[in-house]
Amino acid sequence: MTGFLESASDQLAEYYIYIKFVHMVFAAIWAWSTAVGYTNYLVPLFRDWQRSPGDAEKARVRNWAMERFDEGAILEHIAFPALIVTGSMLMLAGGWTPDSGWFAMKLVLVVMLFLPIEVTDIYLAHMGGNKQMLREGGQAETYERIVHLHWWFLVVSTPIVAVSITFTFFLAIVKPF
Amino acid sequence: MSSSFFPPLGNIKPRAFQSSPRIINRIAFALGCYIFFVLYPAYGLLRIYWTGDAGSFAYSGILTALATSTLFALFARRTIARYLDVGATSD
Repeated sequence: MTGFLESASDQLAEYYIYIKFVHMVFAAIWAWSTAVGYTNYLVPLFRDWQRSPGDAEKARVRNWAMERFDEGAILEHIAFPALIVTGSMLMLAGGWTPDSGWFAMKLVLVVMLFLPIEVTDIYLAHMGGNKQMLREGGQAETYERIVHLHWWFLVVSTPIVAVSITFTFFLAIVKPF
Repeated sequence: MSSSFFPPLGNIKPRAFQSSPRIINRIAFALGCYIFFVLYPAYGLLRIYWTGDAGSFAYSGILTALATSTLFALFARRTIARYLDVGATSD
């Protein structure tokens, strides 16, 4: 195993800067591809619905926004696995280990924060929690429950990602410790 | 925009979103605890395992983690309450 890793590290080393470029492109897609849709469409429409939860038209607009957001999150959810792959390649190519404090911190954030968030998000947006599939499948009660759950998830994860993604960029670029 | 553009409600019965300052306080507290009791120790233990350096658990490290956790919990509470309109008097 060690021999394989050393061999992979040697072969990838000369492509380090290109892998880094690809990694940064996916990082940008992952970090910001849903920001405009979330901040300017989903949040205002949900807040509007929350003020009049019995209004059927506002509920329809809410559902439309959530179903479109499920679709809109596809880019983010393609980018995240690509980040894991390119990040692992960078780790090998650059010889990065938890010897570097910034790398240890980034590793902890990826494994213990971003991974659970993204797995949950992927489930809610594209798998069992996909709203369009639930609506077309006639699962009205589940639909409403998942919309509430997804809204909780998004609102609670907002401060987490706002801080931790910015901090992760800082760690990766500045390498402060 | 035509209202036919939006998906039909069908049998979906929208119900009010349930949230309260108490729930938000608990969530914010849990997030702060997650930083202090999970993320920070994970970082420190990883450093000890890999380099043998226990400096992360020095007083300055603990204080930094405590301050970060507290400030983040306050920020999270404020953000979540704002998004859920809990306790808001105007928009």
